Amino acid sequence: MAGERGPRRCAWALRQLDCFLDGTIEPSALDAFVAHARNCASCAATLAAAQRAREALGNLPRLTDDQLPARINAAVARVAENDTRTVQRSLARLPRAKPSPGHREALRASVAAQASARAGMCRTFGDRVEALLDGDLPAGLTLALERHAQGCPVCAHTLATAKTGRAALAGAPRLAPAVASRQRIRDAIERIAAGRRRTRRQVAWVGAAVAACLAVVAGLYGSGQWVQPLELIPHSVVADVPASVAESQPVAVAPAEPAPATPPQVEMRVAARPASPPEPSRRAPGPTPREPLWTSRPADDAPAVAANLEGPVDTYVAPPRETIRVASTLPPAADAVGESAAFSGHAEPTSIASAHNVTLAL
Amino acid sequence: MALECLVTMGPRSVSTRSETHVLADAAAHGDTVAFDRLVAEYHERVLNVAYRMVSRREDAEDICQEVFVKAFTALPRLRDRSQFGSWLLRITANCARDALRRRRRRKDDLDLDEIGPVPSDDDHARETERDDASRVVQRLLMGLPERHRIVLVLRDIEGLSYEEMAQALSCTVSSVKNRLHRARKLFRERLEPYVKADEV
Repeated sequence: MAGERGPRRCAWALRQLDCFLDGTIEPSALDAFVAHARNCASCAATLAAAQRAREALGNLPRLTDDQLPARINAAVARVAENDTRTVQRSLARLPRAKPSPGHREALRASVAAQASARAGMCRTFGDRVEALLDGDLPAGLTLALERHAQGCPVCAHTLATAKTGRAALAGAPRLAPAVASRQRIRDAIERIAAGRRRTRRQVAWVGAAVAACLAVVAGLYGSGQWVQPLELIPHSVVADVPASVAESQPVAVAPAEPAPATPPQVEMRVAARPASPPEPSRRAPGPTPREPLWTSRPADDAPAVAANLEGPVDTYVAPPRETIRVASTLPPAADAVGESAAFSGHAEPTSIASAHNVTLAL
Repeated sequence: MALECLVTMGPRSVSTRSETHVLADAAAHGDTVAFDRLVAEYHERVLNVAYRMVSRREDAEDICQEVFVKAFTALPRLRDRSQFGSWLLRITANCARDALRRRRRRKDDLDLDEIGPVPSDDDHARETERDDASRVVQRLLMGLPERHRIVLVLRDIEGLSYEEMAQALSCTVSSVKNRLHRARKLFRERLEPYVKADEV
């Protein structure tokens, strides 16, 4: 194929031209290319033109590094200036819009409000505005709410209202206490304190009196001069008085000490108890005359009382204000309950003869 | 007696026991001078809380006297006397509530339009705007429910802490916060028409 002519061979040589100039042609193809270029005038001319072009390119002047950025910047500036002028000219040709007063602000507010409502921030703001003023929220949430309030007029109004309310409450004028009011309180307190002191003194006096009484009683008891009160004497002791004594005049218990200013007002008349009492029967049949359980002493008992007054001193019985006669039908072995029942008048007499006639002077 | 206690106690005792505690101790034992000092310390606060609750100076002064008489009577039974201030405010709130109840029973309820400016010593009314504002605030306060009004008064007017409020109202701190939140929201909603838009 070396030295071969023809269009196909020329085409092959042109394809190998750049590789030949670059020095990267295959060694096996190099001889064939050189032989073809020597024999083919057109390919030789093409090769020579290509070599000259390569040499011309290689001999171009080289740019230094500090000149290139300046040139690029200058080119960009020129383009930008042209663009700006172009844009300005275009804008100047546009018709000018004339918005109504506040239209832009209203539009911005509505857009912001709608956006906030969609995000749910307004509700959050309303719930947290007090905590925001108290400084109780975390830093991130505080920042978010403050940014939201700057863009949302509704929440900004809420914040302003909350601040105004706080300021109004904190700065509310205060009442000054009147001197007269203070004096009234002082007087009331003094009255209460005086009452307390008086009560304390009274309690002390009562305590002292009780202590003195206890001391007197203890002294009497220790000296053996203690007299058992009549009410504490068991009834059985009184009821076992011998018949001879019992049938006599009413037994009067007089104090061992000299007669007090108010003599004892108890008079007991004890009837004789039979030695062998009949079988006790609470409800005795037959026409036994019944005595009233409680009878007031009639007025004609006054002579009897007067007779008592004529007795010896040790049997003196003071005239009672009112005397109630109690008819008791206790059996001989009456227990304490029966006695109390008889004294309270709940038992009916069965036999007058065996009854304990007790007259109480009240 | 109380002053003597303060003087004779060392600095350590003073730091551990507050002056109010010492005065309350002395007053509980019948020292009227010590109680008078307590009255001097708390009179203004009690009077203002009562006034904010009932809106009439005469009623507030009656409540004030009732509060201090009750406090002096019941002070010996108070266990923790370091909490005298909160205890006194609790009595104040109860007395104010009773006074409002009595007023309702007498059908002598306050007309909100009756509320005038707070009477002060310099009654020349130079600052009419301030008077108007205080009147509006008091009217709004009286429009709130009692349980909301008392927390608003104690917190935003008297400046009590949540703990002191909880002691004064006999409830928990969280309950106080909850009530305060509702009260402030209600107050803000009613105040909103009075706040001008240009203040935003």
